[in-house]
Amino acid sequence: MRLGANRDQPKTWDPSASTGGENLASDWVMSGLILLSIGLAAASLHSVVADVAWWFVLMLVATIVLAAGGIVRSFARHKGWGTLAAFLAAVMTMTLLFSPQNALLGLIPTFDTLGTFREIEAAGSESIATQGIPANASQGIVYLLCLGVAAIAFVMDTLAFAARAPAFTGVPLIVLLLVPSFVNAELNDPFLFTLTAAAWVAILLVRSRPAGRATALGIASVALASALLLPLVLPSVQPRTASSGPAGIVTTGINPIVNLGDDLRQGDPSLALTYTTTALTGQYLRLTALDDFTGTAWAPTAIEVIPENSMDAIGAAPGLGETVPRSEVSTDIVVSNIGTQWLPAPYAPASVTGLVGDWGWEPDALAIRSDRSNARGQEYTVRSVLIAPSIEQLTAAGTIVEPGLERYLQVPDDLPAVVGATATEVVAEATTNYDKALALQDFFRAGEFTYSEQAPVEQGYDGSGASVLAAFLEAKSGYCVHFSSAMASMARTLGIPARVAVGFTPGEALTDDSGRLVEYRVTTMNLHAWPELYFAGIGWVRFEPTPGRGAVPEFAPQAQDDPATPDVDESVPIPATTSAPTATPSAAPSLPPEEQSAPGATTPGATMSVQWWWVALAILVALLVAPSVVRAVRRKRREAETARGSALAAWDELRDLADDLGLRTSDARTPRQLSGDLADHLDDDGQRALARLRTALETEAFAEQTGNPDPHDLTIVCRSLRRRAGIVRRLVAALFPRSLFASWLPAPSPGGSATPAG
Amino acid sequence: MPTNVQAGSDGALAPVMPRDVFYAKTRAILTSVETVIDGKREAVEMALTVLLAEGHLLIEDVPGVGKTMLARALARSVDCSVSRIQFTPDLLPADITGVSVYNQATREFEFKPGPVFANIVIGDEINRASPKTQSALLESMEEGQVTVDGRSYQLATPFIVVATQNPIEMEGTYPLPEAQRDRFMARISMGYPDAGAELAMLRTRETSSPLLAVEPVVTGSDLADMIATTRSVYASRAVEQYAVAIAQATREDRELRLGASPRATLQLVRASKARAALDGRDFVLPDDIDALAIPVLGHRLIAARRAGAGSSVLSGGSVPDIIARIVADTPVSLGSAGRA
Repeated sequence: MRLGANRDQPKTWDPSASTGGENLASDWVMSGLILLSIGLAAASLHSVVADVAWWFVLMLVATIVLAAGGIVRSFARHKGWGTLAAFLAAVMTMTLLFSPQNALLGLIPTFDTLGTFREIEAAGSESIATQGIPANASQGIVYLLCLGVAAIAFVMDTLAFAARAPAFTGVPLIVLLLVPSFVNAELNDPFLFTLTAAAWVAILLVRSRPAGRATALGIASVALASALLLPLVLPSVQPRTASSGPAGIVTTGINPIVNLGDDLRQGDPSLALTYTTTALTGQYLRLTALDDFTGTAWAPTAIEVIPENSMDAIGAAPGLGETVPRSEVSTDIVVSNIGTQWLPAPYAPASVTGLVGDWGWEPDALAIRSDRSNARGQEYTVRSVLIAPSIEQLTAAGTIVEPGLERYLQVPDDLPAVVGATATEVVAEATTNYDKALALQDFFRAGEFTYSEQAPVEQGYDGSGASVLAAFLEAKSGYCVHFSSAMASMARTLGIPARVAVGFTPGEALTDDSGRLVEYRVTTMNLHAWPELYFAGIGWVRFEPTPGRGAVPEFAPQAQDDPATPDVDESVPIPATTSAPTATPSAAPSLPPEEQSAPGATTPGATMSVQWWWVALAILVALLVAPSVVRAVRRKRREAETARGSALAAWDELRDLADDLGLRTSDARTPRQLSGDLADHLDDDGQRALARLRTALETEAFAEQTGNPDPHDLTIVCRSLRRRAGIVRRLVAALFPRSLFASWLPAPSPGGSATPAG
Repeated sequence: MPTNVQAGSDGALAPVMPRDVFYAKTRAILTSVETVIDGKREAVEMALTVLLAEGHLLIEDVPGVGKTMLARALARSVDCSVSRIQFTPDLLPADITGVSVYNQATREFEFKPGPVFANIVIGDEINRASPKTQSALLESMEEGQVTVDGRSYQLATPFIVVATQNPIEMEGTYPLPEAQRDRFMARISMGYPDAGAELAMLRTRETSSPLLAVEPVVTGSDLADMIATTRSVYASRAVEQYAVAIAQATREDRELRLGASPRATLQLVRASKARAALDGRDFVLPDDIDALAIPVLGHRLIAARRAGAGSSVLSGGSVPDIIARIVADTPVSLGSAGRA
């Protein structure tokens, strides 16, 4: 029919003649399937992102990207244009959705747009880092998801059309599917996983030739089954507690106070460190001190780490006079799960032993820091000086400010006047710096102030900045960051050198059965900030203005009775602290009960738990094994068919083996041509056996008579081929049988078929 | 060309002529022709292939390489009626087909058959004649008969035209239109002999023409039997699919303006049968199709753009190159579908 229709019809120039309607239709089917698979994979994020609105935004982005590629492809002669269109569509959609205000026509990104993108991205990263599961879909998170989906849609479009390798579209899909696993393997949704896999298989089927379809189904089903089953048989490898996982939960940037509130609000503590100490009480462990309050917030001065300085002899505590009573304390610290470049250490450290990496100390703050190493996992011993100045000594310091401390008195110009006014009002008639400091501490601890990690966020004055202090003083509710920065700021306005220290409260003392102290456990809920004030002849002295947190230093007792029950946010129940090591309240972090009882605690946010490695590994193993299994099954079947008299089966097997071994075969080669091609790779026995097989095949295929192949010949040829191929090629053939993927891989360039004689 | 007889393929076909006789006779023809044409085994075999397939052969090459010699040697090797027409610009159609002459004695018009009434017709330099005259021959080639003054006269069987032509670029030529080129089963070119063959030729042919020494080695009825035997060669479904796939590919190829006609496909399979028979097989292999694709399809296809026939210097794809590529790209069916 086709012959008749084409009779004498000249070959037209129209390029659409060769890319006719049916091709295009299958292109659209392919695009549709890609969209479907992205939609299903994105839906699996429901376990980590709350609500559903974001999903529609993602689908909008994916649809636009794929449609742009498809539409342009239907016009353009070269498929590359479709790829370009998909890329441009992705960029423009992101611009239109997230930063139209500083883009040309709202679509074309400018440098300002990139800046906005960076801000949103940073906000998104922070949002991920600070939220629990499921996270609220903040703009930043939606931005990151959209960016990911746009990239995935673009990559899949490119793979499916321009690269003609639809099988590889599975890779970006796997990435998307694994996102919940990054958080926790239990968050994987096997149902959506299976559906996505089905969509991927459909993508394979649309593009593979009928011969390749069975392979596609075989490989996909073996890989899928293994990927779904393997995690089930690997439960023992999951960590008992999140804290033993390798990934950190708390990380500190250059300014550790920035994330402090977020870390506290996570509501899901993980072990930060444990320590034992020779001191009688638990130790405040400092990371660093923030001494610069000239900008918008408290920050550490750009620290000059002196790499040459030795951790064996850390400089003396600044300003510490000879007469101040002191005791030497040795503290063994095991850091487990915080990633920070500052080393937690009691004040004032004298030496640190056992550290790994390059560490240096900073002479003013006595902060120990490393540019390249990390505190995570370190085990070290700190010998430190615990000062216990008498009240007389503190009082004797009067209002003297030693020269060189002026920078500890600076406050920003825009510091609200109410800060200084309140300070003056609070200290009233106190004359010495010590009395003033005590008055300030009492003002916060015993006054109307309440502890709340949520209130500042809800009311919009979170942070340590100058501007939030007024709001904090007004609302009288906040957490350590507010209390410490407020007290330090007020002290500075009163002429007392002050800075904000950041670190951990002493944590919970663990005792064994006999009641003997074993160690202190410090979790992320013990993260803390407190003011340090400077007294002439004594040096830096710790105060504790935060109600319900930490311990008031003995030399700075509270004037009024501290409430027995710490005055913390009432919405958070406080677990009883049974084994507090000190007389002063050392409140354990408050935890929502349901999360406290979860032993295999989920690590929230962007942190990774160990499980996803196992999921990934399982998928990897499955993907590695699946082809060999399918190939072996196929080989056995063909050998059986050969024994039943099918030369065609023998020939197929032979051709596939050659293909596996990297010898170029093409189904455009006739049996004779292929025999000629393979002859160089065979020994004499192999060549003779091959000739017999070829004769049998030609008889069977072209004379349509019984070929009667000898199964032994097939064995001889295969063995001979393998022997000549070398170990590497045999290994590759075993692991990655090319013949299975022939219909998806780019066709090998034909090895030049015999040119007929003219 | 391999000459081994395929073992174990005893046939379903009922050969008109026993295979060994067939084989001996084809060898005899080849040997006979090769006494005249030195070192041109492929061209000679191709000519014999076309002869056995009952097709018409077009030999195209520059003057003086032995086109006519090949045609005449082939004709002389077979004991049958042979005529030769030298095409010139002033040749008239009637000079080919014959004329009706008024016979005074019988007072009737009497048909005087032209040179086309022969088993083997050699048309020399066919493209030097006017199109009108060309078409007179070509129509008779297609229809197997000649119509003069309303009466049809059947041509002899077998009827085979071996035409020679100079390349179309040469002076005083009228190129054959596509439709007429399509009537030739195959087009071959002789090519220059290599130095050794040319030297040998100088020695042997200085004085006498070796053509005179060529004696018929097969009779006309032998030839008819051989043609019948050739027809009985089996072309499997797989091979037919392969031939069709190649033809289809030529129609869809971007570099070709005109693809292969269904007649071309038919003749490709027919010629393949002859090649299989010459090779001693009673079934066609895809290799036969491969080997014949360029001779059979080459003169029928028209390249897109500048690609001229045979000139591969100026353009990336000459027609033979394109065909070779298509053949190399077309999957060979192994017939599992055909047997099902």
